[in-house]
Amino acid sequence: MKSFIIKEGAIWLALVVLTVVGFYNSSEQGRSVAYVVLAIGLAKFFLIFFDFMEMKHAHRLWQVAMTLFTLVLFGAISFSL
Amino acid sequence: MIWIFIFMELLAFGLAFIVFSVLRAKSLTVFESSQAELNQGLALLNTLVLVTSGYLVVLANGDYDAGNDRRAARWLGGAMALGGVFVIVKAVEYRDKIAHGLTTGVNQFFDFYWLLTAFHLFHVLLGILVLAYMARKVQKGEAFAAEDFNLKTGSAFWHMCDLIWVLLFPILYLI
Repeated sequence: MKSFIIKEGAIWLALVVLTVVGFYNSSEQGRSVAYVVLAIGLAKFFLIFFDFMEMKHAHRLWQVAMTLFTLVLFGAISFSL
Repeated sequence: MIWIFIFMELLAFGLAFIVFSVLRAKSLTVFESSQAELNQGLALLNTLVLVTSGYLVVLANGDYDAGNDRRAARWLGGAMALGGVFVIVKAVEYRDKIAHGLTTGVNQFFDFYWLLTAFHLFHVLLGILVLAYMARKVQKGEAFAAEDFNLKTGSAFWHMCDLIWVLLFPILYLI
């Protein structure tokens, strides 16, 4: 259980660091900054999705479908920036 | 079943985010000036709160799988408490917006702001109830009756709230 807490704690810490980095990056103006903030959001999405939600143990087809959906979603949002 | 539900929820929010982004591109000045009226600090705090509550739910699952039911219930209690903090912070943010007359009908940005955040808040409130139900069952050592409604599926619902917020935070508050 101890190693589980540490391993999941590392994921949590990564999410916290990414959140803070994304927040401070957003104080800058410009399209390239917006892309970076979105990319950080995408990374956080996948960390929660695959680790916290345990999708890494789900069926391959389900993983691929959800990954494609997320990439299309972020792609569409990035395209409209 | 829960995964189909989660996918449908993400699809609904995803489509709303795309429409929001398209409208933002068309009225960039209005959207940027409206976004400046939001409290990014409170949104950052709520992001950290939700992410941490998600971690506690993960720990609850780990302890439940290891047979430590009482500790699992405590983690779930912690996650619920953080859910409560999220609701309070959101209420503070809403009170400020209403006091400044920034409600629906002001412009498209605030229409989306209220629609998306209120719909997400509804999910968080529902999630807190789900966590409360799970915590009670786990603490009493009762078996979950339905295969589709157990600790794993309840946790997945809570993580879905987290996922939606992780999308909503940069799109609405940051970019």
